[in-house]
Amino acid sequence: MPSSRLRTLQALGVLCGFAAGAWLGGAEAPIKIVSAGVSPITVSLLMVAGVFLARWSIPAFVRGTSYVHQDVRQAPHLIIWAVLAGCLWAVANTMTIYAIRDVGLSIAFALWNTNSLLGILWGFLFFNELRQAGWKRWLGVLGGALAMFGGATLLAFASSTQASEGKATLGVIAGIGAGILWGTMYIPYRKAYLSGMNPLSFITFFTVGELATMTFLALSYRGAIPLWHEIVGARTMLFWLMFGGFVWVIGDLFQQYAAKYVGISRGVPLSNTNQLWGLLWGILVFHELRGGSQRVYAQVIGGSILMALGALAIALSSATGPEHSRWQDAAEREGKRYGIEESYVRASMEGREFDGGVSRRTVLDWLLVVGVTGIFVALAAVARLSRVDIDLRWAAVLSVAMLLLLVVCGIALWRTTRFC
Amino acid sequence: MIGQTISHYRIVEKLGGGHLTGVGDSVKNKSLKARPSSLFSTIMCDIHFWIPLLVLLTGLFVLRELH
Repeated sequence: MPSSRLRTLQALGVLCGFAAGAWLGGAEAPIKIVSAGVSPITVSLLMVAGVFLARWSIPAFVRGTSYVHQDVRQAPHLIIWAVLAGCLWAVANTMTIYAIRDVGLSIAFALWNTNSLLGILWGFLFFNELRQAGWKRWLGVLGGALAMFGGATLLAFASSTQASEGKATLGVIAGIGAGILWGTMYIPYRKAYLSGMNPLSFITFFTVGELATMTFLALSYRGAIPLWHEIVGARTMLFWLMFGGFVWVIGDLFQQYAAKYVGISRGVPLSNTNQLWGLLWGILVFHELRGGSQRVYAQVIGGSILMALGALAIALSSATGPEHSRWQDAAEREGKRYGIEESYVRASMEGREFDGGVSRRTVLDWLLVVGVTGIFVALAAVARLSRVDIDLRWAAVLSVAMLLLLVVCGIALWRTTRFC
Repeated sequence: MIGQTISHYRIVEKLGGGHLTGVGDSVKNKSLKARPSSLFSTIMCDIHFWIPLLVLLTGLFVLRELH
């Protein structure tokens, strides 16, 4: 691959990582509108239901289901990894609920934020990431990830409202467990993208594992009848929860492209900037930390600067030619192991359309898009705002910033890779 | 029937491809690679499959204990 093309793809991956942070962080906003009254497991299930709808309709809208079908046929074995990753996500997400309950957000967040460090380890061990990268890039990525971890810890301490007493050990186990599950989830991500799979195809099957596991967990923990009553009772909040899931999917899609083009060692820490965006929404729109002590504000400012510096260090440590050739070795190994067409793997690494690719939208695609839109319109019609203390001006400013990132990143992805 | 056989061979051609590292590189014979079981064996010998699976199963177990 020409070095100019490599640089372009690396820059695109970094941009996707930052856009992912904005949208993943913004996904917290609709959920914050929903006040108490719904159990965390049910909140998680409803959010995943929104995620499911988005993950089937967005690929249909962007490239069409025929494209996804064509893409999956090149490497059908990856469906297993996509479903596996979805299952990992659902279990990790449920664990965070227990972690927050038992040790409070401040400690819990710091614990599961270790996922990026694990992502670096798996990337290095299995996919040749950071091999022949040179000490400067090692320093940039590892130092950046550690700085972000420190910054995230400070922010989490500042934004925590209360820490539960007792059951601390269980909470710590849950927090670390979530970090391990999320960190390990990036093995399927990287495997899929090194093998040439398109992120749009991956997320379509990822969500099957996600929804199936979440439904299983919700039914096991809540029981079918109580769960149904809870969902019916919360019908005025369904829109916000499912919309939160929809927003989250856009962020996750950018995260997938970041993982594809800059690898998991860089893509994961960059998308972890979502905590900064979550904090911005919390402080500016939902008036969190109002009347906080000077120490709290110092933690917020210090943590934010640390996170931003860490992200900057990682963004400036993108892969060079020698490292990228090691990625190609790993891709070649995967291709040989599963008999994937070499030109398909190479085209994907170079962000090019594979010769056999088609992107014709069919009636089915439009039915999916119209159907999902209809569901959201119907839910919005019965939705109610349970919180009124929201700063709409700041909500508009942050929404515009997110939309700008969506447009800029979407155009960059289209022009550079045609969403490949 | 013929169509099924042809499509079967097309799929196997893509999946097997004669590069069954991790399963046993001696399996290079075209007639042998035309078995769907070769894909299953390849996945079973892939550490990228077992690590996430073991982490998932451990996670489910821990979650049960937490609950």
